[in-house]
Amino acid sequence: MTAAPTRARTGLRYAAGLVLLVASTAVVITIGPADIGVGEVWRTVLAHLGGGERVLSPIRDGIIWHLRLPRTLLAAVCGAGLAVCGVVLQSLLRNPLADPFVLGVSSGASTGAVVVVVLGVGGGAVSLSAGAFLGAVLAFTLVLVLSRLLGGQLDRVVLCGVAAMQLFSALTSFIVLTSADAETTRGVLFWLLGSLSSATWTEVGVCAAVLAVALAVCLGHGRTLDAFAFGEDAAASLGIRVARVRVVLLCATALLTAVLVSSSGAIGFVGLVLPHAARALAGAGHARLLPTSALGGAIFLVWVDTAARSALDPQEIPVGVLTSLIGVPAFVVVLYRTRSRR
Amino acid sequence: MRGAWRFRVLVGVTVLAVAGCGRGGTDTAAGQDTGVDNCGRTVRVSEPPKRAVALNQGSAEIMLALGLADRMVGTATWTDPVLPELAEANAKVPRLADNAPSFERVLAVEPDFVAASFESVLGTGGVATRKRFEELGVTTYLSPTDCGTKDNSGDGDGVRSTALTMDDVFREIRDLAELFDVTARGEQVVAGLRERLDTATRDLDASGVSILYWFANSESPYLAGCCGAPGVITGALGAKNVFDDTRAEWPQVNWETVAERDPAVLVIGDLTRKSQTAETAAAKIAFLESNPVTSRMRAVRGKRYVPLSGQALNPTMCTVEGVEKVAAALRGFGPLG
Repeated sequence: MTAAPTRARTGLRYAAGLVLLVASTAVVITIGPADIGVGEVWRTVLAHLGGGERVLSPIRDGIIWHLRLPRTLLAAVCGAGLAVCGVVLQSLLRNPLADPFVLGVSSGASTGAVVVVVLGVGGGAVSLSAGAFLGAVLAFTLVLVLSRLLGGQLDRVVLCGVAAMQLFSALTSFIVLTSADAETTRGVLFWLLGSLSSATWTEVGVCAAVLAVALAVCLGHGRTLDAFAFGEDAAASLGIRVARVRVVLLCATALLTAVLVSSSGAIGFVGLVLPHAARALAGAGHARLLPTSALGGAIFLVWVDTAARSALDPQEIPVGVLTSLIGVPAFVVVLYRTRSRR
Repeated sequence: MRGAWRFRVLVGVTVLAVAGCGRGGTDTAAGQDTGVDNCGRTVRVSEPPKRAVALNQGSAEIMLALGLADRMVGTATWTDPVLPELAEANAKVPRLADNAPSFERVLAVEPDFVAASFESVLGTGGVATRKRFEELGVTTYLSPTDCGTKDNSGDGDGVRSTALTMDDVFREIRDLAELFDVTARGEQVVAGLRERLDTATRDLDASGVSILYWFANSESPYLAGCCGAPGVITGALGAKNVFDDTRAEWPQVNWETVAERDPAVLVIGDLTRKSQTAETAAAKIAFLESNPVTSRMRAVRGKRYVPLSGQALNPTMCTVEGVEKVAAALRGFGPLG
């Protein structure tokens, strides 16, 4: 490993990351199928923030303020959240293949969404997001309870997660195949592949708030996570209450994932691969790794989603399809450039 | 023509104003809300839409038939080529996308009204929900043929609680005609379709003829249940659908059951899309005649196939064409009862 960067240099890196994120947001909201000038876009945003007059017709104003901006911010929040969950779960479960969906959260969300939309459970009062959230929490609870019954070791958690994933995928397929309305199902599946197209300000607010809390919890356990890298016994010998910490962190990441999945669908790749890229850049210490992953995930997803909504105009590609198409080459580049340092 | 009509209204208003009605005159002309009940909500417009988008082929063709091409700013989600008689009018309207467009692509043409045939397009997972359009001041309309499909208040699971009838399509035509203030034209279109239905089925005795409707997919075929557009066709002919015991719209059934029901006539989708197996009529016939089980069915041995477009098998104006084609084919096949 290289010598640890000084505190000042680390701070500078975060500042640069934040500036890059804000600049990316400012740029991508000027990109889209509707032909709106760069100046008009920025004046519209300023007008909504309280400075100046609105320059566009209500619909074009809505395209900026109710479509592109919340969508871009949701992309940033989801990217950050998924990357953070990936980092924590990979360390906690000591498994480099762990991702935010390893606890069955995404398949539970799929089942919940399909139950609400296809079967009409809840009488229209329960939205797709709420259904997805309930399904995710249910799946995760099942995984926790099961792994507890089976002894509670880490490999049990992973195995129970995989089992829950299979179970809920099967349930989703069953409902989809036996439901009579293939058209509706296709729409739901598009969304489940990961799509930010229905982003609203409410979702941005909820996801950002949950991200802030979960990130704070994880950062608070930064040192503990470092200790977990040497195994649970080593962590216990350092005076860490292993079982308690594990449950707290598992719950924090699962809830964050559930909230993200219920508003964006299961966007793959970010939570699995971005932590490795971040580790290559920032080292293995969680105090630096967590913020680096969050910033990297946010910037990455902001750009990928922009490609998803504008590359094949007039159609949209589910962002989850593009994350890997764009992410894998980027990942290879990062690993290649850092190979000699290892 | 429409210009002339506008002019007359304008003259009328002016005369009223001159006659001393003062400010009242203009208010009545501009402020008269028109509203129709649509899928459990009221769709209200303060004046006929001027920039309409049709998100499905079915809605687009109804609007074009109502002579609204110059008030349309976009169409999308096309299943088949446009009806020949509407091709000229359709050429004037930009096609936003062959499939479902992105929400922004629709908003970019600044519509004041969007209509769709299917909730899967105007709803969750589709272009956008009605709520999102309406938050931006865009009025939405969903075909009454689809909002009955998924009954969210009860045990709805993509099953029709009541059978679709041609009246549901007529209702869609009349609703749109009312919202666009072309009610006379709407009645004309409905009367024309009714006339065609009557002509097609006049003196046809198809009672006892069993029909199977196959939409697509050869491994696990999508076959029509009782109550969708194929139900309208079956009902108009007075025939019998071999799967009228299921209320599901297009259930997937296995070939063993199909062979056992052994229908007299096969109505097969002749689709232009390419997303599943056996999309075209030719591919379906090739399968039926080569498969050891289906090749023994009496309809296959007698080559009694009726190809229909995807739009005719969906609840649209084209369903009338479906009735005409199947009726004509049945006359050709002779007595089958």
